[in-house]
Amino acid sequence: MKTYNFSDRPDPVDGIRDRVESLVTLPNAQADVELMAAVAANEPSAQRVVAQRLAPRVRKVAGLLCRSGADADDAAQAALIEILRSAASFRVATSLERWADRVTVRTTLRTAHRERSRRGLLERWVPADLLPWGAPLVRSPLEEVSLDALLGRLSQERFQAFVLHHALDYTVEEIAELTGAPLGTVKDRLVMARKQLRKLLCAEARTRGGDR
Amino acid sequence: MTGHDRRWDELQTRWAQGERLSAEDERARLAHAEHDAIARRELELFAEMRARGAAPGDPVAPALIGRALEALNGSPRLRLVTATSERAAQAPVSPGPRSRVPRLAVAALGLAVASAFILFFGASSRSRPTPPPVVRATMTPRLARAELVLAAGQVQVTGRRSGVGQNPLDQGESVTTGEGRACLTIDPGIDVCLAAHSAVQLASLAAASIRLRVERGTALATLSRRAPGSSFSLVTGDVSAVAHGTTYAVRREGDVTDVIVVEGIVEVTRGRDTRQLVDAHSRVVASLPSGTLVKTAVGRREEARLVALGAPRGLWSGAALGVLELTPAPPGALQATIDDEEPLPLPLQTLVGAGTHRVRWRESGGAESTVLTDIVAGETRRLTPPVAGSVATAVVAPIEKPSATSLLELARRELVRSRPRQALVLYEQLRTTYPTSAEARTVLVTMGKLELDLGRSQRALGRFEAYLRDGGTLVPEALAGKARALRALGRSADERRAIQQYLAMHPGGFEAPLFTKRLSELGGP
Repeated sequence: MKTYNFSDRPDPVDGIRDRVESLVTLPNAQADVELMAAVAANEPSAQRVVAQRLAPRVRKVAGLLCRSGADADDAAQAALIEILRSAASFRVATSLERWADRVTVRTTLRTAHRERSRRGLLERWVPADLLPWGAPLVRSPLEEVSLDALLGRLSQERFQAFVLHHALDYTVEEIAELTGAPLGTVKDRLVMARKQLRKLLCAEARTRGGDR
Repeated sequence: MTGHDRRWDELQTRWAQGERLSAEDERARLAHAEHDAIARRELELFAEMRARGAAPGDPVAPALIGRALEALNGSPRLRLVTATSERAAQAPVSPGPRSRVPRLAVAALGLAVASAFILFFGASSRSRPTPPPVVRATMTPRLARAELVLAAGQVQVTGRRSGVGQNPLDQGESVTTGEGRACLTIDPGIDVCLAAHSAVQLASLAAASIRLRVERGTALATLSRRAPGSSFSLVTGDVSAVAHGTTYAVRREGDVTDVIVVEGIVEVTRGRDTRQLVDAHSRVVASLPSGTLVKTAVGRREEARLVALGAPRGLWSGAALGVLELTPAPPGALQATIDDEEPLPLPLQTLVGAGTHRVRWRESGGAESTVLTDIVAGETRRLTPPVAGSVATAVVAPIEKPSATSLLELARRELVRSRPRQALVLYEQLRTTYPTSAEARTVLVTMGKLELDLGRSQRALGRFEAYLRDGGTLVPEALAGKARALRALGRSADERRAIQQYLAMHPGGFEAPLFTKRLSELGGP
């Protein structure tokens, strides 16, 4: 494996291109710091390496937090740009993947919020005869409650808290910090989301019981 | 629910909100699910959620990576091609009446030094190509955009007449009100509204620390949560009220400063030592001689008065905005309301969302006239009061005929504001103005639903039946509404027939499960 020494390279930018390839093969935190330093120095090959390594994960996190695939693609792209632009702030104290996850979550929440505001504006132009109905018209009572059905019924805030805690394993404190909501509000959103799930399951059980 | 179920529900709620359960509680939580089908299903759904998070990353289209890299590297950079341009950028030196000899000597000396420098360093750097010199632009502090968005009555901006929708305000400029009101918006998400006889100066528009000096009167600030490291403050003399996302007002009368917090928390500081956090529905009074901050509660009436000051904010909350100008009228003789908001003095200039707005002029004698006007984004719409001081004119002022779409949009806005009665009036106006239009028919179902919500079941029934006479895409909703209206009227036999009709036509309809249950309750054939 190719090795190199910082001391023989007085200019941190020059020659980065030569060592990017060797850095990616070192799966340790120091290698990640150096790789991100190369990204921060606008080294195109380092940017490509980081983008290719993190893109699947970024897309997954964005996909979990967005309700539509198109929004998830937009959010993933914005998050990837943000990760590469913020490369200089990456420190050895955290893993690159976990750090990228946080940047992705922040960017995706921001994108989702913006998208929601935009849709709110568009809604003003929805013909009145579509109001106040907007829910899907037909749903078979025999249809089993799926996770997606539950997620589809949660409000944006509860949905985000639910996904961040139960899928992405963020603590309540971390969610409060990421979403800018007070701790109690985050807990309330998690509890209410769970209550909605419970209600849905009970309604399903009653319907099935009634059918039998 | 049995005691056992309750215990499980409590444990599951605690677990779901992120609490770490003891080993014993965790065992109990999981054990219960083995005997309870619903609990088991709930745990399965949570496990599925966790599995989604733990799954490997999604396959990504190469185009996504390509676009991200392109966007990243496409950001503008300043790169100098020749050194001459760098010299050209310097300020030109004015020629003085000096001799040429010293200048020639200096130039010769400079050339000699440059030649020696090139000879010395040129040899050492010959091995690698010299990159073009990169000049990094110095970053000046980012300034927030501040703009006058409402001027009603007597309003001045640094001595000149107000100009809503014109140039943004500069740092150091002042906004002053006489018998009038004004609002300004500062990015991102700050609205500051001034009461009558008030003045504020834009002391700092640096995005990281926006500061407005309240010279006199009352300024109400409503702001969204600030980003970390950014702050907004209203200051008077040595009193500063810093907020990070709240609604609060600062009132200055002579040496007395009054900070009133409507929502959130505001940090009030005086000088270097005195600092106090003021929470919602509280006020802090700072008077100059005593130098102390006295905290008391705020009455509902005063709070309501402050909230009303910021009420017009909804007018310019959208993205597509135009300017609405209601031309001058004798001061105090007229007031105008836009979209049933608070009455505002004239003349009035305000940014409003594109679309149809209802402008109502009110003469001091009580006569009113209403005009519906369409605002186009980016354009100015000037309206003249139809009264011009004459009551008779006001009463017979012509009313513009709005389009069906405009009426629908106005009704939609009323619904968003939870004002079903006003929405019904607009729907009725649509049906009267455009009786043969498609909208006139489709709104019948919405009207029926609203009547039902208002407890007017007989009227609701009439709306639904009117729609069902000719049919349409909303027949399931109309049938469901009819059944509900009949139930509210206690006409069980008719209700049964309506439900049967619904179930026959839409067995998989959204309301089918509920109606099936209701039908069994009603009994009969």
